[in-house]
Amino acid sequence: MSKPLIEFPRHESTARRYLVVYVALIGLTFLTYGLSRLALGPGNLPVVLAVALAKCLLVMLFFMHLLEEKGLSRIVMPVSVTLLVVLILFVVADVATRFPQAVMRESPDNPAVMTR
Amino acid sequence: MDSSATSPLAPHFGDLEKQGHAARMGMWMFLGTEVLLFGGLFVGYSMYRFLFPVSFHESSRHLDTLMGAFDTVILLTSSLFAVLSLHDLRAGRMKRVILFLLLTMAMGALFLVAHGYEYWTEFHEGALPGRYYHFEKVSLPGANIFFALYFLMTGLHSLHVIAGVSILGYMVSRAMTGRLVPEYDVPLEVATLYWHLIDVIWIFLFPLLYLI
Repeated sequence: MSKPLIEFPRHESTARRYLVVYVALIGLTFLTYGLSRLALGPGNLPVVLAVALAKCLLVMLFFMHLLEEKGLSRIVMPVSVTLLVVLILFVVADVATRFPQAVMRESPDNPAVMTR
Repeated sequence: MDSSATSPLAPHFGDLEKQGHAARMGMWMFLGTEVLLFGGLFVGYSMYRFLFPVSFHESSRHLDTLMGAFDTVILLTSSLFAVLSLHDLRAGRMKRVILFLLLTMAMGALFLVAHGYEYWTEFHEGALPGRYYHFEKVSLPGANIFFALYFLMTGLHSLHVIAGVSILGYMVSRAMTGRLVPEYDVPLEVATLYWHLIDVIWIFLFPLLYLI
């Protein structure tokens, strides 16, 4: 439980690893910006979220050294994120499954109008 | 926990390794609470996006996406500078530590300037939160909700950027007065952990507000 996933030397001699991760992050930013311009419509959300998740993992594992962390510190962020995802899913499911008159939303055929 | 003349080891820890691990765990737990703090606003965003999909999409189209991408690149670069400063501290290159910390702070300040400019154009166009909204180009019912969430989320984030820059400034002063040592890099490490989280939060804010 106290061994990290990967053993990097504590005083690594080169910063090349960080530059590689940085280039990947910039590349992913261009990718997500370009993809959004393609106007995929509702398909956009899972794609941009996937890219955002990839960038988040790169920053956390390498810049924040989470790969080299030992013990309980490793589970803190996964727990927070999991609980947040559960919260979001349940709140949206709550609103989505209310009987239609119980919630105000924009009308699907005419968005300029609110409807129940 | 401040350094004594000989060692930064505090009396209630067995050794420096354990002390460092405890400090990092404490910072990760704080970062977990920050995720939940912003998470509350993300929950609000998710719910209202579900209820007003067209309003949100239309309002998002009128944000300056290029500026948002520029902000993203600024913060990613600032994270690189932050991790390089930690890397240089471990190697004992103190001048470069200070240089990279100052560069990180400069990137943070640049982000605030760019984002302040965005706010300024939005104020002028009338894209204001809640009942102050009077942006003629998007007259949909959910638009003022979108902009309320936009200002709340990016505003809270910008407050964190200001806090992060202040913390890094404190680290610069510690580095300049010899209170940062390569043997115990934990104070700088936890400060940069906070800075990286600010970057991670923006990594999610950018697509959700600007791109969809």
